[in-house]
Amino acid sequence: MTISNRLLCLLAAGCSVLMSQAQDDGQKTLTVTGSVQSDVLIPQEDSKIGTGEYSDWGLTNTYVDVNVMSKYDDNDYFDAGARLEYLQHPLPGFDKKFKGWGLGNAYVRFHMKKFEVTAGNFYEQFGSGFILRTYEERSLGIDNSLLGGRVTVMPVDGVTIKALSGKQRNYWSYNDALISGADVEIGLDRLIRPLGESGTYLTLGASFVNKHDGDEVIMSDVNHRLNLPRNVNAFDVRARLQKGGLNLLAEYAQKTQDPVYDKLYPYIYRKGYVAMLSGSYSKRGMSLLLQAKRSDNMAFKSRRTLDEGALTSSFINHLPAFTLDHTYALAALYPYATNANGEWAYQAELGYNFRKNTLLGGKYGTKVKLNYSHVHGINRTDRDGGVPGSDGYGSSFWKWGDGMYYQDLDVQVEKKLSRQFKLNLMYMNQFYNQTVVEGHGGMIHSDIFVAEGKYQFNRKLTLRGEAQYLSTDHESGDWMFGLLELSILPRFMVTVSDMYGRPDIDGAYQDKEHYYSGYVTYTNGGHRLQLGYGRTRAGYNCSGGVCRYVPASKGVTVSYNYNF
Amino acid sequence: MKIKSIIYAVACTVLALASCDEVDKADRYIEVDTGIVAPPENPDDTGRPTSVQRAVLIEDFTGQMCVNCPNAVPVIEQLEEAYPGKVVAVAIHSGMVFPSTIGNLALQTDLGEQYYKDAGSPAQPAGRIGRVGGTYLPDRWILQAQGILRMQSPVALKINNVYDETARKVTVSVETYGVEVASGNLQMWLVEDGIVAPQIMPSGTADINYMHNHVLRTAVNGAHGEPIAIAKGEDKTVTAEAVLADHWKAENMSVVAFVYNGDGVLHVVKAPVIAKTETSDGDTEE
Repeated sequence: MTISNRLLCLLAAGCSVLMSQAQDDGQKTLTVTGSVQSDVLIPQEDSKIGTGEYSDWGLTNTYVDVNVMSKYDDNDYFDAGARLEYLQHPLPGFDKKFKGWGLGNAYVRFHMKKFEVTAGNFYEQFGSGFILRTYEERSLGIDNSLLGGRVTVMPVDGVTIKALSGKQRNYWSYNDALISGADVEIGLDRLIRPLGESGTYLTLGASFVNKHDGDEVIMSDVNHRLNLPRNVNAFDVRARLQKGGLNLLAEYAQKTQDPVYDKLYPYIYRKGYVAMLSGSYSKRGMSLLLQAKRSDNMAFKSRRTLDEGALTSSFINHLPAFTLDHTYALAALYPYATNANGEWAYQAELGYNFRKNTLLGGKYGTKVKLNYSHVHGINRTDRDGGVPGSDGYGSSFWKWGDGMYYQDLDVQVEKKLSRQFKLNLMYMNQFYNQTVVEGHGGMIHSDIFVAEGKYQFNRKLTLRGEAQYLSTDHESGDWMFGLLELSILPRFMVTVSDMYGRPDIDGAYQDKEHYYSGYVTYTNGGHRLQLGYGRTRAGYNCSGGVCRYVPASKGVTVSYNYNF
Repeated sequence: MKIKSIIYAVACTVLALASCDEVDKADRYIEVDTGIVAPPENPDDTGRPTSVQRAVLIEDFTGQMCVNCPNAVPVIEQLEEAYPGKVVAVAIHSGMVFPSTIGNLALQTDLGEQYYKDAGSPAQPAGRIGRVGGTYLPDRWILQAQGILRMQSPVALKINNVYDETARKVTVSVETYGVEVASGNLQMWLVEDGIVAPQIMPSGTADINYMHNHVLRTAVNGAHGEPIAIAKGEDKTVTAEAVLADHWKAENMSVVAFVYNGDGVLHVVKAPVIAKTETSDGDTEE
């Protein structure tokens, strides 16, 4: 039975339960919701920016989600949903196995006040995701849902227990390993009244995940194969304290021997560790965040071998990013991908609002935000050559390894200058270790300057402009970016932009090129249609510290979204 | 009380499960009988082999700018050592461009780039092993290669090279013999060992004196070779010529010849350009 068939049966079963229930009871309400997302590129080849060669005239990633919910009352409901994915001619830069079409997701769920059961595909996160986080991120081509069952119980107020088991989606198949886990989260403030009454919120959590995988032949040399552990276990403990504006989180996770493919240390038997401390404080007009994280051999995957080219698939866990996902084009030119297998990461963020009618606040107030992220390698000393079957390496907890992976220091100022005009300024000083992230290129140190202005002509008409400059001594060269965006409420938005710099074609920097683009966006109710034309630079697209390489492209783009 | 017992139960479960399935250092390797033995060729009355063990062609898609590519070298060396004469590796430099042509230090060729694209432009290092299946990361090369080494070849191959030093021209004759019926394309390549040229190493630093071996230089008889059909018991000889570029060292060069079709590479042999011949069972003679 193919996956699509299996999912179809599951969905059909779910829907028939729903429909029969709906017919039984006239009190119930039946609602259908969903969405359509279709991104199309009609590509043109352009050797100056290094686009690929295309055999299809049009490429598309198209998703249709449908959910049906039958509600009894505020707490009790049934719902079921499915997602049809058409990725037979996908947009450029996705893994080879991404191509295909069919039902990518289907589930049924029964929810009561203290109890919930889900069968089918589901997404889950335990704590910060150190040992389990399954999610969908379409821009990265990630959908690592589990196919199986999940039970959530809330036996008393403040206590949530989850148990689950399933196999992980790997594009158009499911990995063999069975992933099972449980999570308990206890809100002590709900159980101990005086604690809650004093405004102190203390949450404790503990999780466990088991990966059970069959045997397979992985040769360590021509006469030996590896004796692989069938079970890999991981646990996570955490505590969160919140009082007033203060928020503290401490979390630690560990996993047992988990020999899997890795570029540097393939199939080693070292355990995995991750520890994080995060503290934030906020009061009116001011916020401060300080956090540190150390990860060590903590890429937790549902298959031991790596599919060639499928670098972002099969992850069971996800470690939070300590670097910002910048939205300004040049600030996002060199984004950092979180390295679960070994990094010390630190982040400090300070936000301050200068009030109205003060020296720095002026007439309308001024917002200032300062962020500092620093990511460094961990100390590693090879053990037994770090070869397959060895312990890989030893590492002292506090010691840094050789080399900084990433650093950015940025200052953002948001200033309203008049009733019509708002100005945002940003400066960023960035170090990006291209060798660590991309495998070549050395350290790119750049200074990035951004100015964004927004002028509101009237209630309907707003013009926004961006001017950005990236300066570096690296051979990749300086970059410039400019954008103008006119929004005509409530229906239209017109955007034109140009980025100018040296294309990187297969590692060789070329003469500077313009990456022009223009878009018209039309919105009406739940519909959004965007038409565009332009060139897109090759580079990394990141979300939450997970990155995908997107090759250069040029052509007509059509993007349609509909929510119902 | 209820909460305490929940916590206790969870803690016990975690401890119980976390303690299992640890593999001690001494127990991590399992010796395997690969079942690979070079069968006797059992020559017939005319001295022709009645069976030939298949040799494996490893097309190593590699690059001077690829940091992890040197990690593939020990895998190839292990295989060559364990199965002498039965493993023919060819380094196909492709993918990321080495940004220099000074002193002919760039090893990439248009031909290599064409093969790399044909193989689906995989992330490097990637290997095509006997052209069976797609490309694999080096951790799978031993397993894939052993699968091929257990097979028989329907064709015996022997290379005879004649090198004209003045014209820097090599005349390659490949003698084929049908142990069984075989058809496909016969491909001849020129490869060079011992080239000293820069390589980015796994540490991220550049080694300017890195020794590159079995580097694909050119195809002797076209990018895809030439069609060949051999009947059982038939002898067929194919001849082609190539001129060596000035910076190629003839004494370090070899000819790689193989027959392939949709099922993969049926057999592969290698012989030095200068005054040596090699038979399909790997013996070399002056």
